[in-house]
Amino acid sequence: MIRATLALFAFAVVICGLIIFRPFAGNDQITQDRLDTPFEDSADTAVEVTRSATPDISALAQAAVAAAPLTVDLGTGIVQAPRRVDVARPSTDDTRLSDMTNNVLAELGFAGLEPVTTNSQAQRQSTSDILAGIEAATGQRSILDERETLEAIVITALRAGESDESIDLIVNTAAASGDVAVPEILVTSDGRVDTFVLLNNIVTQARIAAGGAAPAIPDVTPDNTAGMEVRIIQRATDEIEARFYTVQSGDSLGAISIKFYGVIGQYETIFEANKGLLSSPDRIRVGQRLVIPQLDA
Amino acid sequence: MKRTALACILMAFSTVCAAETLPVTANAVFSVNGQEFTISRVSTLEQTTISALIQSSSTCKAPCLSPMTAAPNVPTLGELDVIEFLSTQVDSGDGLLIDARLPEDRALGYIPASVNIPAATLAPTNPYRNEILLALGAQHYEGVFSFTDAISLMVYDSGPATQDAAALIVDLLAAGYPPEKIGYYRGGMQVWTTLGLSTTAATR
Repeated sequence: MIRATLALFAFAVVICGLIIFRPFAGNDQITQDRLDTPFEDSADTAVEVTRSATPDISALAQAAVAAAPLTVDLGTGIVQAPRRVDVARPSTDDTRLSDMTNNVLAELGFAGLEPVTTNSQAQRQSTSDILAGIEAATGQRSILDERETLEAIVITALRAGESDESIDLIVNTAAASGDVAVPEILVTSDGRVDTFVLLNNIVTQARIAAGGAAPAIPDVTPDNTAGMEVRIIQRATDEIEARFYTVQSGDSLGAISIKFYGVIGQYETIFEANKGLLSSPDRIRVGQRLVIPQLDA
Repeated sequence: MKRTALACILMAFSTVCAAETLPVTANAVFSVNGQEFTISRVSTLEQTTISALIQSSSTCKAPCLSPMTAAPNVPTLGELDVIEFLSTQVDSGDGLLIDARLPEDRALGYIPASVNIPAATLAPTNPYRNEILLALGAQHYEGVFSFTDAISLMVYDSGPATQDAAALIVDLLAAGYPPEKIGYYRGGMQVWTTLGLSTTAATR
């Protein structure tokens, strides 16, 4: 019995030794794969992978650039993978810009305008109701922080008589700090807040409230608008003119709506027509080609 | 080993005892934050109120049915479990019965001692979601939530024909709320009122 055990043990040791030292392995390099395609001896492109610092980092980087259009920081040798350029965007809420503008004008004492409850205020109210309910049941006090609102910032800036540039700076600083949420259609393709649209809409709504006419739909042609194209599409019975607009740097959906329709209110028309491209009105990117529908007369 | 076995036997025994002492026909009396509630089976709601109670949902526009299980590891519970939850965990302040309906639907009537958190308010898009999670006992530390001290929840809505409670549970789990602290009362107002169990109407 003991002899058999010892023999088995010795056999196991020999097998282990064979596995570890591989005396019969030889130098049989694989020169062909199973599909009989010979491996190319690609010594000139081969790159050894080690964890020691490679002396010729710039050559490596150049090889990488030749392989794919990557961005390489030659100073550090860090190769950045190609990815969709996505900018940091300000936080948004689903407050309608028209509601917000209405409240700004009402607060500034514009005749004939009553403040309305914006979606953000409604959300805040429902949250405070919920917190009150939880508090009544658990007895634990929870505080709903006061948040700065874009409305309040704009009212303060307009009261102080700030210039357009300084309002732009104030609003963008507040939005970049993440303290204030802005309506989605004000977010531009480079992640800023479009204060031009904000202020333009205040003027437009003030004019309409004072009894003025709504701005006319501007005459937009590819000649006077960068990034616009018109295609004639032949259909069975008639032909239609399809308009496209390529998003430029600094465009927001509100700005595009003003550009083509004169007012911000048509942003939904654009958004609906481009739902496949835009996941939400604030996810607008430079180079996106948007369909600009004609309004039904 | 022996001790574990003994503990298991004891637990099983106490469960059986608890099951037998549950208020099947007797009234359940408990108090929440100093206020006393009674749940009985002699509620006399008018049929019109009952049908109004069960025909409301914010998450289902078209007629729908909620699945038996709202989410993995979240138990689906019945009326006795709700009553037991109310008289133990809610009574001691460790639990909350959550009404996932909209406030206007809830105004028609709700389970006593329940708290309204409409399903939409815990959606990730609500900027005030974190405040609600904090009120439920979550701890916030540098953008990360810890739910170790969070209270146990039991969620209900209008009934099996709506999905508000399931939507709320999915959003809670997405926020990181541990599934063992969530229960799902699928019967909702529909089964609750049909069984003649007590409801509270809003005092507006």
